[in-house]
Amino acid sequence: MKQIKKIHRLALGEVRLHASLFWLVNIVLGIGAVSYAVFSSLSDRVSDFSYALTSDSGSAAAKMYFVSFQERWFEPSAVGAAVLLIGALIGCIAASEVFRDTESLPHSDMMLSLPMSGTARYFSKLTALFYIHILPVIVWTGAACAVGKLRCALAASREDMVVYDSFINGRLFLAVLATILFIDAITVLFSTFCGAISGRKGLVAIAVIALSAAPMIFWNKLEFLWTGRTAGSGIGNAPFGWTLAFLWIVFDESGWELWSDWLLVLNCLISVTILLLCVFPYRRRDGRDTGKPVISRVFYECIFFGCLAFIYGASLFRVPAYWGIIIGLVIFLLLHLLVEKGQLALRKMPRWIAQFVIFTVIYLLVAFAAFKTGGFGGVKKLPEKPADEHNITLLWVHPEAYGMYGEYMWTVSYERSLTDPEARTLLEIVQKYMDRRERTADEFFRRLLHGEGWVESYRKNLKQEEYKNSGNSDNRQVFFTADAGGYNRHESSGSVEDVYRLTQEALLEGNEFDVMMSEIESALDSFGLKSSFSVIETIVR
Amino acid sequence: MIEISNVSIGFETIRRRTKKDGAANPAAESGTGDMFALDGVSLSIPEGCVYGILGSNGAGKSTLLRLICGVYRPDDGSVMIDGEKVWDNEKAKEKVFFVNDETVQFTEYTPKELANYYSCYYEGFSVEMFDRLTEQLGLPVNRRLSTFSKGMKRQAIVALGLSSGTKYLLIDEAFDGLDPAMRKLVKNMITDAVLDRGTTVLISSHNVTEISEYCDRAVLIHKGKIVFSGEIDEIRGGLCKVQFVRKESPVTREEIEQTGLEVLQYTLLGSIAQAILRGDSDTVSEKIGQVSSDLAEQIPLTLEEVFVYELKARGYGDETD
Repeated sequence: MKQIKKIHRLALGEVRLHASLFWLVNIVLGIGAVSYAVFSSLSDRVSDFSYALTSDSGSAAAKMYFVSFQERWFEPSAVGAAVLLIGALIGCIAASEVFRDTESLPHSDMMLSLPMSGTARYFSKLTALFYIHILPVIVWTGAACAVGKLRCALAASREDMVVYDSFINGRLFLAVLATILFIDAITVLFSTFCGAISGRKGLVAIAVIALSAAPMIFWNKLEFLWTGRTAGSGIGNAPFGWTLAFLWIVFDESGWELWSDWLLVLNCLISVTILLLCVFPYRRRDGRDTGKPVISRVFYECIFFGCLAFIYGASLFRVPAYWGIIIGLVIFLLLHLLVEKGQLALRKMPRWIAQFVIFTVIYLLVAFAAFKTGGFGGVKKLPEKPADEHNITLLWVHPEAYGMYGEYMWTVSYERSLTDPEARTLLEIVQKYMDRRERTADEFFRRLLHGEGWVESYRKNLKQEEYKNSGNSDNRQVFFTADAGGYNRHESSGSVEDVYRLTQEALLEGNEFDVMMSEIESALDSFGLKSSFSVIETIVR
Repeated sequence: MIEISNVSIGFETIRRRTKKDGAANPAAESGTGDMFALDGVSLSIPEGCVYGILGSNGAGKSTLLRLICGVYRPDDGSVMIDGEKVWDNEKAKEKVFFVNDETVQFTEYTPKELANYYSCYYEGFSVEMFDRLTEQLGLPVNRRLSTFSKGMKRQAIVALGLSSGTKYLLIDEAFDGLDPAMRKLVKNMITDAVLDRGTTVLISSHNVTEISEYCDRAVLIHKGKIVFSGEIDEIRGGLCKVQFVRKESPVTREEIEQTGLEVLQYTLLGSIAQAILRGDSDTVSEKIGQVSSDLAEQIPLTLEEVFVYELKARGYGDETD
């Protein structure tokens, strides 16, 4: 208890030393919180639900109707949320400032000679970091989100209506917290393990972005895209430290829903665990370690590999492979130069290039293994159970349509809830067709070498230019009925037609889809649901 | 009392090698040309004295101070303060305040902020004393140190050290950057602390004259090893300068060496031969009587001369002759 009190007292001393940073963080966060509370709004929104029904005889004739109704939505202030984020990120300087003794000899002289053990010093610094950075974020973001939540609750009680999206407040709070904890954890990890490298904030930034985003991109590639499943099915939507996702959810409405609270809490817990565990490398350091790593060179290589995996994840199979590889090589060499303190060590260059080649080969081997085995068997796994009783989402990627990133989602509604076995039967059908992809080395290399460009040459009917000229292609909805004979379009407008035509051509040529839908229809028939089938929504990205 | 027993510490490759081998390499120089910063150093620093640490550039003076205050962990041997090991030991470090030769770590703060900071760590920190000292030195306590001159920064940090109330005060390059007036003032402050509180002060410096004037004891370090240590007068008495005059032919080095005295340096100017000899005054007087000369006269050595001759005897600075 005495020790804890002492650590707390010393932490307050450290906070006083960094008072200017403390106030800066609080001022920016305060502005963000007030902006969020003031500029977030409750608005009415008209929603149109369009249903296209087939006749029970399976003929091409169809009925269409629209249902429109008004709802109250919570519109979070993107500006307020962004300022909160900026405040939170400014505070991240605190982590490297508080742990500056790991990189600067004068600071380590000052800190290490003070009367305290390494463990106590670490925890006093961690406590100081909590006061300077984490606590202000909790207080200000928490207050802003509480105001948002309160407004929703008041509106709901006054007007006796549901206010949608009020959950965003809680999620924003958790997302900001997860983000700053992640950045703090990574910065402290770098400081305690690497010493000097923590001073090169550029490298920390690169590593944070790359390491945090790489798992998501890699996961998508291996587990979803290469196996024919989309990333939207709720598995691993918030892998540890996917910091960029926070930016996304602030500025992209749809992003909010892809996070789940428990995953964000898990993110926070992992970061806190890292922060606590860093005491071990920290207390190992003495003054001689200042500015130097106390960890094997392998740690750096892991960071480099993480960055390379990020670049490859973002580029390979999208653009022709040589682009990704050239960019990867340049970044890889730059990172080495950063670690070598900017010295162009030419004699080391061949070794770096050899490492790069090894990493690249390893990456491609893993990629090929994933491709060949269907995401290491991930494709065999059933998608998640229906999210609610009335809707089931069938996920399907049709690679021939818009390359690997073409993504279609059909939402099928039913008159009654599907039972679990029924839902499972339908999903198994989809699964079966997903798994029919031919996985040859030829196809792998064709995709690798040509990227998305491959689609253009392979799919004669789908001209990239035509696609681009079709106007805004995001979230375009086309409605069509399905029957035994195929598909009939019933509703579209403006440039949507172009998109739909291309989509349909691609789909029909694939033919696989028709076979699958026939099978689904048969299954629905066996459930006694055929007459109510279906709403089909196509999302083209 | 500070007890340093057989301490070795190395950097970079040496450090890695000693860790791997499990024991320090006793050789001062390894095959790769790397040096131990300190090699098998043993030293006792009694309480209540002003102890000077002398040495050539890169000799290991700052390393020694960092070992004593717990910034460095020795690879071999031990550093104890009043019977407690220093490394990672809060109890031992409570008794030490280290003023290093840099002030860059303090520049963003005001002296008052630093006083508040250090008062969290040192229970004996006296705000009254800090106020008194800063007033005496004429330092503005609410201005950032970045706006101070080099000398003012040093004064502020020494004032912090003296106010911390620790039993041991370690000052690296103590009077660096201070003008003569301030030098005197700071010295008086330190002297007051020694007299009033019995503070033990360790001062490292290149300025041998200053150390000889100000310190009771001193240690000379060269290439990580102790050349001599002890009271200043003792050290000075360890070498003698003797001038020999002989009309017919000058006294040669060989003649002096035949008496059994170690000759550190021998110079000849006309018929006058001058030699730096190891040994106390009595021994040297006795032995130079065996050398035939018209006149043999002992001349007192300054500590600076002792420093120079001892290092020259070890090949340091020869190229500057």
